[in-house]
Amino acid sequence: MVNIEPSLDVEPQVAAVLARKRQKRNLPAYKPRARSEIQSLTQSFIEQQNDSYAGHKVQNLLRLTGGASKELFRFALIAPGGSSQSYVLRMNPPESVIETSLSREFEALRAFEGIVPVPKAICIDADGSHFGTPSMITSLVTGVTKPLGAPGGGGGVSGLGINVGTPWRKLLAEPFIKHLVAIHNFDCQSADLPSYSVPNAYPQQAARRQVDWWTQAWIDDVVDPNPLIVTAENWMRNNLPSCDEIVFLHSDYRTGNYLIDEQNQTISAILDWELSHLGDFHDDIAWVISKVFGHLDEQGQFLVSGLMPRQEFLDRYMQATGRNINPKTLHFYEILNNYKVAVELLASAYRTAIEAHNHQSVLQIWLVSCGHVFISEVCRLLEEGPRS
Amino acid sequence: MTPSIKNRLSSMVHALTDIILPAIDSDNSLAREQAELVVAHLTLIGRQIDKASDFDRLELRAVINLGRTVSAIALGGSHTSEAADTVTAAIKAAAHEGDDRQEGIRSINHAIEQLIRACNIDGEKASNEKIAAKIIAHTKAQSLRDRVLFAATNFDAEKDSLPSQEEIL
Repeated sequence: MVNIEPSLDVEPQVAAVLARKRQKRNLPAYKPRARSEIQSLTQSFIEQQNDSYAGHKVQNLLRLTGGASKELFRFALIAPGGSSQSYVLRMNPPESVIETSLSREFEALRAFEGIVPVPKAICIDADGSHFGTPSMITSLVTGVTKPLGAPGGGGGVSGLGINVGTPWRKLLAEPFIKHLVAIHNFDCQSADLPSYSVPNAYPQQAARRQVDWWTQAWIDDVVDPNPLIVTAENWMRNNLPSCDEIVFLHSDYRTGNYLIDEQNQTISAILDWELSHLGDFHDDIAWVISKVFGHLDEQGQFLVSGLMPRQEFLDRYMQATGRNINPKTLHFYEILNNYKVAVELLASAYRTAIEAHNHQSVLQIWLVSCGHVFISEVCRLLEEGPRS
Repeated sequence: MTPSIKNRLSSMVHALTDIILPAIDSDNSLAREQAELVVAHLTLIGRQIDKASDFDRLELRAVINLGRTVSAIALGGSHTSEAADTVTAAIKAAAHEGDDRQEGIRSINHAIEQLIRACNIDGEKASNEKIAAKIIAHTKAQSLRDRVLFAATNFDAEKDSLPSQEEIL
């Protein structure tokens, strides 16, 4: 039989990351390195940086939980005068639920410093020549993903479905929209973002590149074939929307991916930029309104990201940006986003777990079952069509 | 008679919860989280084990029905007809694989995936649309069963409105 797989237009930097993952497929199972070894590597890496770190000592390096895709450590950096500051080391595991470029994340943090609250990007080992795997150091921002006094439900692994409670909803809704608007209004095409490509070769390229990224991930990682995945892929290929305005997209913007400063009652940092890319603002909007990232309030009304009703969010976004939300385009990106997470969970997380290529294999296999919720959403969206 | 799987799982959960977890260094939050997830997994397996075989049997039956339906309605050129024949062959092979139902499900679903891709090349539009509708209807039912089986993971925002394992079977 001839090759019946589609020809794909994957963004070059993403294609390189996916190729790197395929090359690592035959590696032996992941074995954790001793904390002392990581601390020593961090010390020597810091020493290689500019003179401002001369004489600084890395101390108290500890593993952190959270983050299903990266190995995380915190450590203290002690200056010669004795003052101490806390930092985070992020390291790519051999494989993960999402395979991403740390360079892009680093560039995004640098680009958005002073525009929205982000951890300060300090230094990067982009090719892994020092740490043995791509790694970067950022400042540690204090804050919580679930504030004190929030109701008990939600907030499991990856912070899905966090219920911050009524008082915090009112406090967080405004900065939540404000920061999303700032990200989308950022002049991404003039910014220093060398690892990002502008999808403007043809009107549908922004949408097409996303479909092709996750199609490639499915082909690479599938364990249990699923005809709905290919059916959804076909539907998307036949319904690619044009993109009139290319913006910077966070791509995982939701409650659980920002830190809350309880004292100042606001958002202290927006995290997890690894899936960021350039494209259509509907992409992020569809992500924010996803059912899986919200929950019902005390009156049974669905709250997007646990903060506000769907229509209120859409209205406030349109009012703040002057952009109009096209229901058909939004519907496309809702299907794409649910498809994408289904691929991440049912294929990539599963593959990572059975290859034992991650520090959290037991979490990766735990996440697989969540993929059925996203599959169910794809079915519903394909059947119901766009909301008017 | 050997100890039942449920009792063995229960002993493991006890050991992990009452002996191993308290012994993990409080600084080692990753090890603690992993151990807690192992407890959750073992507890979930304990809840699923009596019904897992029934779920697999039901899924295999549904996938065979889907395969028969889509291969019968697939119309098009040589890619489509060849892929439809592969679906039929996968269904026949699954019948000979005895108790390995999951392998049967996997091979039929793979053949159906390939059929959809083949239809994209030379399938007739009306037939492609019918196949898509059948696949969506099948997946709606199957994903509901999967969500019921894994409801205890608490990922599902609608878990309180899902049917029970007994009801779905």
